[in-house]
Amino acid sequence: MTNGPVASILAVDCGSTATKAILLEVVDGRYRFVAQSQVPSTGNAPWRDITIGVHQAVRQMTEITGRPILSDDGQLIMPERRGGQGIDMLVATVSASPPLRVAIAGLSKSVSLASARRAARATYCRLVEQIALDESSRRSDAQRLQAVQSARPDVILLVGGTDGGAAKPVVDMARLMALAVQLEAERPPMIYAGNTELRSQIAGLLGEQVEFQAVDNVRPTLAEENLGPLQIELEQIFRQSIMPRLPGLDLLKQWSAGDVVPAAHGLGYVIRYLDQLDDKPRYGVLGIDIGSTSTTIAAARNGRFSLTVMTELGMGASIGQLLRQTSVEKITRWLPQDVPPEQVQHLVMNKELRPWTVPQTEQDLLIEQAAAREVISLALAEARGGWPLRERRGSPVLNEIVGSGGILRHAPTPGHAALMLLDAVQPAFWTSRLVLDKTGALPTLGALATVQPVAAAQMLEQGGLIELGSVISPVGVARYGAPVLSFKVKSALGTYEGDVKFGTLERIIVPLGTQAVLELRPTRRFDLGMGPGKGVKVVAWGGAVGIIIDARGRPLVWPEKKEARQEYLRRWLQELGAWSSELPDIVDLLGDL
Amino acid sequence: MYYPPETRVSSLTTIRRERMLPVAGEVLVQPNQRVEPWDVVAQAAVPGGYHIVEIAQALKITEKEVPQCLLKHEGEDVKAGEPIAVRRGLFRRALRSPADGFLAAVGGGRALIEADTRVVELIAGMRGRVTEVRRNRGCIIETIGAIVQGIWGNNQEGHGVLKALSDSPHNTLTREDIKVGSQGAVILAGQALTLRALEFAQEMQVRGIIVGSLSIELLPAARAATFPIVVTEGWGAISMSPIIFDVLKSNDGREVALSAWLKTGWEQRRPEVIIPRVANEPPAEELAFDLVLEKGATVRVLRPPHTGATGTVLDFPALPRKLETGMTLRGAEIELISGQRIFVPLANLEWIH
Repeated sequence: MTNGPVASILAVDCGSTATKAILLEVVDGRYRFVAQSQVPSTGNAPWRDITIGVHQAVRQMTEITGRPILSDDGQLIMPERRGGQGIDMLVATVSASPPLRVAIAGLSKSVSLASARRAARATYCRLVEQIALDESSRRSDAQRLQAVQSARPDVILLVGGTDGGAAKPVVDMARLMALAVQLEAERPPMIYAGNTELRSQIAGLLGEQVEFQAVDNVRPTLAEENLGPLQIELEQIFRQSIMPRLPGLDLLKQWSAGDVVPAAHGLGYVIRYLDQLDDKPRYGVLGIDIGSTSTTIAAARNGRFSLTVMTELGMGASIGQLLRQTSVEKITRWLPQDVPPEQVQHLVMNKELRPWTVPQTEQDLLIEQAAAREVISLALAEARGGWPLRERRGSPVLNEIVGSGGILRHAPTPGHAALMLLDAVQPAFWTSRLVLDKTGALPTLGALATVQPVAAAQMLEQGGLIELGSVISPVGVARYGAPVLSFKVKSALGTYEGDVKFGTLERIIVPLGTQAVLELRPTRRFDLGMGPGKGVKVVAWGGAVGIIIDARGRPLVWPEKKEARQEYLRRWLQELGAWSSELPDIVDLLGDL
Repeated sequence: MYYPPETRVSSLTTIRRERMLPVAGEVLVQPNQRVEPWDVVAQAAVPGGYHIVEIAQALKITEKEVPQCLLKHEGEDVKAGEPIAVRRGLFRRALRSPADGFLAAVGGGRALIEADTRVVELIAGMRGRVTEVRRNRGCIIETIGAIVQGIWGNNQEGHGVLKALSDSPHNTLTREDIKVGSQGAVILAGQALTLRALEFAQEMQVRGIIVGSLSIELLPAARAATFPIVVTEGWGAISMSPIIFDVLKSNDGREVALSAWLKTGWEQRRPEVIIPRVANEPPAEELAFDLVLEKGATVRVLRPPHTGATGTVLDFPALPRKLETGMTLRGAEIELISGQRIFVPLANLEWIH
């Protein structure tokens, strides 16, 4: 790292499947995006060194830009030399390391264990065993011990009891875990985040046998959750004990300015920043990064923040997990044509075997995008238990939805990306801005913000994100074809009026970087946030897609007949510019419903 | 410049493979020692299960009194029915071990008996020579021969004599194709096999199957099979690459070693078939894995509409091209074995060499 002015920055993200690099340079006094490269990751066999992939990405970058970044002997040229050779700074994020294996023991599955699970989800954790006093399987203590030992946890969390509440069951569980750790040659550390009054007693039971740490109770009262201290502790263990297992990380750290940041936390920094950009009270920002092996959900509202990392649920190396967590019918319901279930299963399982591949046929593309909707939905279902967002009829109320990850980034049209986000998130009311991380650099911009905040802010303002547009989602339900709202829009393109019927998407073209004034008048069954039937005048941003009025109901209501459902799916795709085939007249179709 | 994923298919090369225990144990071979596939190269003891004995509760004593009542120390062997703790005095009461094993831990008024350990043996898996011993963990074995990497395995290992039951990489193996002579052999199938064929192979006690692809309906049976299954192409109905088929077919009747590793999200060890051969001269070592894809390379197409097709790289067009999906991507011009010329995105190519 240089101590002088930073004129060029290489931001690198080492994922489990792809290693991406972007080059930023100061042009006319501001940081600008110059180029990006992407190569297969090399953290696994046969390479077992992430820096091989970084070298390859850098060489590809040199090929694209003509700018030498490596010396003849393969060393990174840093700081930048005269003539534009090398770079001044490298920042890096990683998501390629294996997760922290966590076993949780506690009293109630739906109370203390649920809170501990949410705390563990805030970093790259994999829940390998959960033991609850109220578990339905009624295992014997010996079976529970055996289960913990077989799970080979990196850390054991002990939770249970509100402060001043249950004592004996917590102590009994601590005794059981004390026996469990004695069996291990390499005893995993234990973290106690239960009834605070029992700390010294638990420490007495466990302290001599194992590395022991007590943090604040995750559930001080039944109504209150306090995840922060446990989350910090788990993140520290992950960064200090698990990330270094990633081969090549030491060298990447030497190159990197500041810490190498876990990619999910990089995304978290960006979402928090976006939430704080505006002084006005906000509904919140939702960030979604759908990776090959994991999916991250970051949510922020008025300074409150939650992060959910779903390890082993992604669109590549762990996409097979989707078939274990949901039914194949949940995927095929998003397809506008008949596809045999086994064909979908084969595609998903082949993608798991070769996660770097891309669909070449329209059918494969739509199957992958259908799977992505379900992956995001599953991740959102886990995240919503602890996020700071307001919801209406199960739909979040948001200012902004930011999408990142290969499946969104490589979507053939902005309409594909917008529809995937819209279908999976199903936001409520007005107006959620849809934003896409087109370069895949969002997590690394978060890492950059920790060492060069000006560069990160400038990249987020221009170049780092693409506005897809704004979405207006009336909350309510009616029969298909019934009126939902009428609108009048004034934009740079002129004035336009129209009506929107239930079950449809209406796209209003408003160019990128411009705003439009919308007068919206919902019918009495529909609510735009002001109360049923109450109209509103709003200013909304345009974008690559424009302004979308989503009149499909909240939660989304499907046509009952399969043929009608497929026809509507085609229409939704067509409306957002993601389907080019000829379609029959909508009036004919409505006649069949 | 593109660094492609690779599949190793070689009819003669020098192969080195690590054989490691899952836990620390004892290595039984020496450097330079020759090994056969069935030779045990290392062994380790793993726990045989646990029993919790509630001492305080059973003897009606306090937790603090437990240590004085113990008849055994931690780590000491116990036999089933043997007393491990006793309450002395007027109302003498003894507590007996529920199993053979040893006293693993005592705490909280309880004792933990670990049942007798069982020994896990690590076999060589292939014929070769030990080149290096890793203390307490395992060894590295070197052999000369053919190697074929697969893409999916059922997490089993084995070895046997290869028997080609298919004449073509495009055939589906049926129950009728498996004859009595297949018993104890490693079967080479073509594109796929039927569920009945897989079930009959289990009955016939075959030692392994190598097949191009599996249908999803065979997954439970494949997972439950007691012999290794190596899939070379993927899921569905995909013909075995003719290059892979030819290498395997040319080794019909030879001893083969199958490591049907199951890839997971975090561990990408690929399944493979190794066929030791005798060579007059030591052949070239396996190539490094960070090579750039070049014109003339043999590649396999990984996605529809040409899944599994093999061809040669003719050119890398300077500009990206638009696909049927609407995506615009960089790719390569490929001439398939059939003579057809197609454009394939780089991400959907795998280098076979």
